[in-house]
Amino acid sequence: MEDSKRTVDGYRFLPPGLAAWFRSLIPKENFKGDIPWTPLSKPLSRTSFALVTSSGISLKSDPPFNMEREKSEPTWGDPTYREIPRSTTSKLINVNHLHINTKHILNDLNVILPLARMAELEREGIIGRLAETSYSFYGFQFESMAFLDQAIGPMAEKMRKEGVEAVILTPV
Amino acid sequence: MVLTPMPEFHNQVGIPRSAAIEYPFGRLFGQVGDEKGQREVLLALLDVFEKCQKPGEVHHLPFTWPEEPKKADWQPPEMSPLIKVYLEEIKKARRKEMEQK
Repeated sequence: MEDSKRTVDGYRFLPPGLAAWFRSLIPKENFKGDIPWTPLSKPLSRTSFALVTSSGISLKSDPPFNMEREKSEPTWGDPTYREIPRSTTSKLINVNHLHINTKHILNDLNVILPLARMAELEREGIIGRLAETSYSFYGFQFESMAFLDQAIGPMAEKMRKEGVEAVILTPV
Repeated sequence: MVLTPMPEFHNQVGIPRSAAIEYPFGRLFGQVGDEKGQREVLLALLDVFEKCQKPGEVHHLPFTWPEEPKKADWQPPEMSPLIKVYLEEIKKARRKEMEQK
């Protein structure tokens, strides 16, 4: 696909007040620090992928993300994560998130965590492999060290064990 | 690789590879049940994996959401706790923008 001529307007779907508030908070200049970089080491057709989303998905068999504490502590977000096996379908999940309408994900998991689409691309040889495990965490973390310890560290460790070489993250 | 609906925000945190898409929060791969559309976004995203040559690149994807923003229905049924806390600041930011126009 050729590079797009369009520039995505990230404020387009926000109500005017929220858009104005975000504009007042987000600096005009981009990030100036060092950014980690790992070059792709092989073609995508031989690369192992995992998916990660911050949309608060959990299996019905696992504890849901904690919404109640956030209601009483609005700057707190559940710092834990959930493993989502590659065979997971919409019927097997809960979605707990106070910042989006969760009904769409409940109706079709693939709108944010496209496990079925990735499995199709794996069968077609377009990607090498979708790992056994993908992941969800809760997408409202405010300078949370607990999140690094309780979610990022364990997720990275599990990815290493499963030979993951590339990750697709979908924030909400 | 991050698939972001808000590159203005994510450009602030130093992401190695990003693909930006103008889709509503929570449905970044497309509409419910639209397997073809989801696949197209995913293939475009994989294409960006191969295009990115240096850290911090953001590639803007060409897709257009088929509904007007007001009909996208992405917001929670109840105002989030954080928005309730900052509601006055949000209104103030909106008033300031209106005054500047």
